[in-house]
Amino acid sequence: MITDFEIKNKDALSAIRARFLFPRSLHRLATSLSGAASLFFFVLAFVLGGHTISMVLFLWCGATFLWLLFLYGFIETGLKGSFSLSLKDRLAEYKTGRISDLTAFLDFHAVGAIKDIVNRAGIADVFRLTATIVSERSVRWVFNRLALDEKDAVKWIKQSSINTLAKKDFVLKLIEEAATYAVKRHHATIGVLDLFWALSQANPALRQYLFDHAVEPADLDAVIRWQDRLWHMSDRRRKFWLRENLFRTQPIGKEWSAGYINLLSSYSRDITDAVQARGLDFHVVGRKKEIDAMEQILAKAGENNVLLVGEPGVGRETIIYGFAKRLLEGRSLPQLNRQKLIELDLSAAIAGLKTAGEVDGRIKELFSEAVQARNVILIIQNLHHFLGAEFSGGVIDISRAVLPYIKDAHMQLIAITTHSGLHEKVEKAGELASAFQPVEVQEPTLEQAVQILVDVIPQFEWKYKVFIPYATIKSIVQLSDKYVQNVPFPEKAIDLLAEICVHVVRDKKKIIMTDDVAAVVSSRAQVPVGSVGEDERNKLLHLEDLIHARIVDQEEAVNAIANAMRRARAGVGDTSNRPIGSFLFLGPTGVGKTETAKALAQVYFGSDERMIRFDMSEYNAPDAEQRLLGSPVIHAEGTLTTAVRDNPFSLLLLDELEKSNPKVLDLFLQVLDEGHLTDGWGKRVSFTHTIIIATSNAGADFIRQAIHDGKKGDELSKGLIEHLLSKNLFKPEFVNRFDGVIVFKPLEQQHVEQIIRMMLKSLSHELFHEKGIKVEADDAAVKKILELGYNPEFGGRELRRIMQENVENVIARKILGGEIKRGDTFTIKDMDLK
Amino acid sequence: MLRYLVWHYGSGFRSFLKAEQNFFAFGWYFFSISELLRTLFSPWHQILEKKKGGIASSEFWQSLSLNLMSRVLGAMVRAITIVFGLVFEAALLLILCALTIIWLAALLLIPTAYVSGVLLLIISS
Repeated sequence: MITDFEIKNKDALSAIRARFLFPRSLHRLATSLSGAASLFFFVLAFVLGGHTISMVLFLWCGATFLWLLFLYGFIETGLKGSFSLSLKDRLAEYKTGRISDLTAFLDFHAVGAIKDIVNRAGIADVFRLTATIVSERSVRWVFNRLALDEKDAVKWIKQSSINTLAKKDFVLKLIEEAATYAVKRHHATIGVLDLFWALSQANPALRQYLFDHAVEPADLDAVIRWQDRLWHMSDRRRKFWLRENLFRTQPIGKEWSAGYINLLSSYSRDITDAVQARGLDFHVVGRKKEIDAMEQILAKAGENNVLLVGEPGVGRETIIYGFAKRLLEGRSLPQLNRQKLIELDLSAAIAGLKTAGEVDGRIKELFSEAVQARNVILIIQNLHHFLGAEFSGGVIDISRAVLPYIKDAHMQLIAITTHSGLHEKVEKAGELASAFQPVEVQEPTLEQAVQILVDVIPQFEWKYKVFIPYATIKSIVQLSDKYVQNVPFPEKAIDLLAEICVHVVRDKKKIIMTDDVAAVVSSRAQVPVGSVGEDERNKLLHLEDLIHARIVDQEEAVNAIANAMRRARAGVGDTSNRPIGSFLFLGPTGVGKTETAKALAQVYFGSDERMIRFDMSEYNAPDAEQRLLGSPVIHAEGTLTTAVRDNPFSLLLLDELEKSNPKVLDLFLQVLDEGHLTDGWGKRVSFTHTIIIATSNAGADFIRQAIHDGKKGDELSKGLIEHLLSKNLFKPEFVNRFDGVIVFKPLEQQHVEQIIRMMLKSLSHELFHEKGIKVEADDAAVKKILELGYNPEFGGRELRRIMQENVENVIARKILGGEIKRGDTFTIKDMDLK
Repeated sequence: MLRYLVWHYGSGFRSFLKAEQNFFAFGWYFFSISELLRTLFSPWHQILEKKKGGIASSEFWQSLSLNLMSRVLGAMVRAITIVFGLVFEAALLLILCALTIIWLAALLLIPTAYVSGVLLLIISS
C-alpha cells in the first residue's frame, strides 16, 4: 500500500527497514558466531606460532564481530530509542496546536504497526490496524491475561457490522490518545500497548468486544501496567552492565569491622542474606510510608527502636523484606546501609532454660553480641509473647533484661506486635514501651491487594503449572474481601489463591477461572457465591413457601423478608455497605418471631445453626457496650464482634432489644447505617454479610387492642411505631434504619392448631428416621393439645413444653414398654393425653 | 552514515562509558576499598578486651597488647585486600582503556583489519 501518512520518526522507519533486511535473531547469531570464530582463530594463530591463514581469519572475524556489534547497538539503541525530547512537553504543545503531530514519538514497534494504515485517499483501515496491533507479542500477552483469544477478537471484529474505515484524522487522534496514556505511565515514547489502549477506547468494534467479555477499562489498564512492569524488569535484568545487576554480589570484607555474633547466629536468621539469595527483583507494593518511618527512627541518635504494629498477615514481614532490599541496594539512609537485619528466634533461644535468671542471662548475652557487632538491626517477632507470658510454670518477662540494651544508641531493634499485644502487654511495660516508636502497619487496599497478588502469581503458576488470568486475581481479592473477615489482606487473598490452586490441580484443570474461585469460596463460607445456580434460583423465587414450611400465618412479615433476600442476592439496590437485610420484629411472645429468624437462617445460610442469638436484656448494664465490643481494660474479646468475625455469614438475632442499654442501641445504629463496627482493639468488623433481626415484644398490648379494633397492615404498623416512639422505647432514627418494621400478629386458635400438626409431623419424621416408627394423631388429640397449649397471652410459646410433657412422654413410655416396635404407626388419641 | 556517527560518538559512546564506570565502581565496591580504608585500624571483628587495673598492673598491659594485636591483624588483612582490590582496579582500568580506544578507533580499526588480512595473504603468498 502506498501511503501519504507521514511518520516523522525516520529513525524508527530506518530500523524497521534494517530489521526487515537483517532480522534481529539472525543478527544475534551472526555476532555470536563471528565473536567465537575470532577467538578460535586467535588461539589457533597463537598455538601455531603466527600461522598466516589463522591470523587473517582472526582479523576478518574480529572486524566482522566488531562491525556487527556496533550495528546491533546502533539499531537497537541508536535508531529505536533516540528520543531526546520529552513526550509530556510535546504533548502539551500538540494540544495547544503549536506542533502538528506526535508521530516522531512512536517507538519502533508502534511505527511498524501504523505505517501502512492510511492510504493515498486519506482513509485509515482501522480493522487492519487493530489486527496488526493485536498480533504484537505484548498485546497477545495482555489478551492471554484477560483470558481472551486475540484471533477470536479479530474474527469477531471482522464479522461485526461496525464500520472499520475512518479518516486520517482518526489515526492522529488515536496517536494523541496513546500519547496521553503513555505520559500517564511515565513513558518517553508511544508504544504498541499505548496504541492498543487508545484503540480500545476509539475503535467501537474492539470496545464492544471487550465490553461483551466483561473487560472493564480499569482491568485493561491494570493488565497493561502488569505487562509493562514485567517487560521493564526483564529488560533491566538482561543488561548485565547496569549498576543494580553488578552490585548484586556481596562484597568482600563487609563484616570484618563488625563483631562476631556466634551465639546470636545459632538462634537467628539473617534476613539480608535471605533476601540477597532470593534476588532483589521482588516488588514491594504500597509500603513506602512504613519503610520510610522505620528508617527515620532507626537512623536517630539515642533510642532508635521500632515497634511494628499490625495484625498477622497484614504484611509486616513484607515491610522487613522491603527494608532489607533497600539496605542491599544501598538506597537506605547512609548510617543504615551497612547494617544487616537479624531475626532473633527468642522462643528457641530460651527453650530449655528453667529459671527466670537463666532466661535473663541468655537474653543479655544475645543482646550484648548484637550491640557489640555494630552492624546488626535485631528483629523480634511477637514481642508481646515475651512480656508477662507463662513460662515453665512461671511468668517470662524480658523487659528487665533488654531495657539497658535497647536504651543504648548502638542497639537497633525492630519488634513486631499486634494491636492487642500493644495494648495488653507492651503499653503496660512502662519504660520498655517508651524506648520504642510505633509504626502502624495498615492493611493494603483492594487495589494494592490485587497488585500484591499479581506479584506472587508467577510463583503459584510455576509451582502448580496452572494459568491464572487477571479476572481470577480480581475475583480472588474481591471475594476474599467479602467472605473472609478474620484475616487481613494480603494474607487472606494469598491463602485463598493457594487453596484454589490445589482444588484446580486436583480437578486436572490448567486455567483457574472465576467459577473456580466462587466454588472454593462457597464451600469455605458455606454460602452461595458467584452466579445464581438453578437450585438457588428456585429457592429464592419460592422463599415465602420455604419459610412457611416452618411458619404459620404472618404473611406480611414473610413477604417483606423474602423480598429483601431476593434484592440482596440479585445485587439490586445499595447492598455494598449495609447488612443484607435488617428487620425489627414486633409482636407478642410466642407468635413465631424467633422461629421466622431460624427459618430464614436455614433457607438463606443453609442451617438454623447459622444464627447468632443475643439476649439483649443481658446487656442493660453500663458496661454492656464494652462487653459487646471487647476491651483491653476488661481483658475480654467482644461477644458481638468475635461472634460476627468468626461467622460473618449468619443471621444476627437480637432478642428483646428494647431492654438493652441505650448506648447499645447507638452501637447498632452504626451497624445498620454503615455495616461495620470497630472493636476495642481498633479492628474493623463487617456486618455486610449478616441479616440482622431485632425482636421486641414491647407494644404487645397495643397490637392485641389494634387487632381487636380491626386494624391491620400499614395502619397497624404505623400505629405501633408511633406508640413505641411515644413511650420512648426506641429513637425515631433507630427505627428508620431498619429495612422493615414487621408486625407479628397474635396467633389465633386455628394457627396454633396448624403449628401443632406441623410439630407432630416433625416428631413423626424424626422418630421414623431414628427408630422406624411413624406417629399420627387423631383430631380429638390435636384439639386436646390445643386446649392444653393455647394461651392468648403467650401464643404458641407453651406448645413445645406441652408436646414434650404429653405426646413425647407417652411415646417414650410405649417404646420402652415394647408396645410400639419398628415399623409400627402409633396413633395418639385424646385419651392418651393427660 | 551521519546518523551512525552521531550515535557512535554521541549517545552510544556515553552509554558505553557509563557501563565502564559501572564496572569500575563494581571493583571498588566488591573489594570494599572505601569501607576497608575507613576501618583500616579497627579491631578485628570488634575483638577488644576491657582494660583492667591501673597502668602498673600486668592485666592492663595484657589487654592493651591484645587490643593492639586485634587492630594490627585487622589492618594487615584489610591492607592486603585493599592492595588486591587496587591491582584488580588497575588491571580493569587498563582493559577499559583499551576498550575505549577500540570504540573510538573502531571506524578506522574495522576497515584496517580487513585490509590487513588481505595484505597478509598477499605477502605470505
